Amino acid sequence: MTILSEEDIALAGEYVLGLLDAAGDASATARIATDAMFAAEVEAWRVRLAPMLSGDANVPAHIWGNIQNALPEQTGQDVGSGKLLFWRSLTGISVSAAAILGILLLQKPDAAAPPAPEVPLIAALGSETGEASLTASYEAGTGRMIVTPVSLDTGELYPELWIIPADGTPHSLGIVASDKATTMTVPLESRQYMGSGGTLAITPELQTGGPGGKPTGPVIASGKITTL
Amino acid sequence: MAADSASSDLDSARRARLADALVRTGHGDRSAFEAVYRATSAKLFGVCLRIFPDRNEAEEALQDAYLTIWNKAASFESGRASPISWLVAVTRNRAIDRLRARGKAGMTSLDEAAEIADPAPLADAQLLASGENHVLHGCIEALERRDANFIRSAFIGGATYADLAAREGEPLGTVKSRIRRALIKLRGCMEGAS
Repeated sequence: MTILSEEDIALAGEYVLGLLDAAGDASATARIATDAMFAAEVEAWRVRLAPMLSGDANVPAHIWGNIQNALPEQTGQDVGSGKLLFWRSLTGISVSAAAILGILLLQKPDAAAPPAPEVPLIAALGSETGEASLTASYEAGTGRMIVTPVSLDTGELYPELWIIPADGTPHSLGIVASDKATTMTVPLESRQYMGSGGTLAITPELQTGGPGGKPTGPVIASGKITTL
Repeated sequence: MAADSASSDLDSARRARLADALVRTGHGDRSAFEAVYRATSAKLFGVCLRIFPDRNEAEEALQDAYLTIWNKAASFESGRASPISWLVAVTRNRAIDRLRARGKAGMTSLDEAAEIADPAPLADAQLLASGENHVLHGCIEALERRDANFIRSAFIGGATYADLAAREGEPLGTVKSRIRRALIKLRGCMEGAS
């Protein structure tokens, strides 16, 4: 059994304290959904820090009435309606997924009349230091992927994107832009790796990419692919 | 073990009931939502009062928090988090969002935050919490004063790294590594004490 590194333990604490910027927060939220050990450390920090917020207080009686009045009108088809449940669960999805969905909708000019959409795969790529972060969304049907940098600086070098499946071997998906969204079509031979659970990662490389199709630079941002 | 079992059985039964009510709230069940409210509003009001010492603002934050809970309940996963820590996290984060929206977050130094006058605490809940309270406060006091202040300013005052760096006139990286070191130390202290 592996244990969480000190960096990850501190990251979980930073997340609970609310210290991370929006991108760092989104990437930690995505990680909670995919990494049970990290999720457990987040829960442990919530329990550890909870006494700072403790101290019960008597609530004025009118508050419950106000809350009830502010609830949406009852439609009579709430409970057990599968479709509604789906949308309710969407309203509860993590900030990261919601933010990525927002980006997706902004990027698709034809999104005004949404057809029955295929469920996209998404990933929030981040680093422990929060210095580099990106989001990616992928449609398996078309192989289309949009990679959007939130903050990304590779200096003289170029950010190369990799897909790393369970066996740990990185496969290059090419260089992406560091200052604007990159839309790409994932090559047919790499699509087999683009499933839920694979990891996307960025390393700084020469403009021609890592020699021999292998990364040479350190991973400056990474994130697991997950279903929206 | 035997002596404790009665009260811990009661605790786990209460927790299971709350988790169940929260899951049903996620399905749109209003009576389950009311049960969640009855069981947790005193505690969550306490959270709001920590963040908004002004009672009116705290009341608004509490109403806002329960509407957020209603909307987000479907994302609660009972296997992953305890219902109460999920509810406290949603309430704290929502209240901090409000604080930030008003431009009030991270502005004040929160040295005194630990000493904020308790808003009409309920005696037995206070007693129950005091054991854990003692460990956390002891371990925070064991940190350097500035680090302890950073942690309080973030958790209760909504300060981000950028706020703290600006306030201290220090590079972001310096503040980050200080706090990360302090967090590891705090965790070590609390694990050692329990």
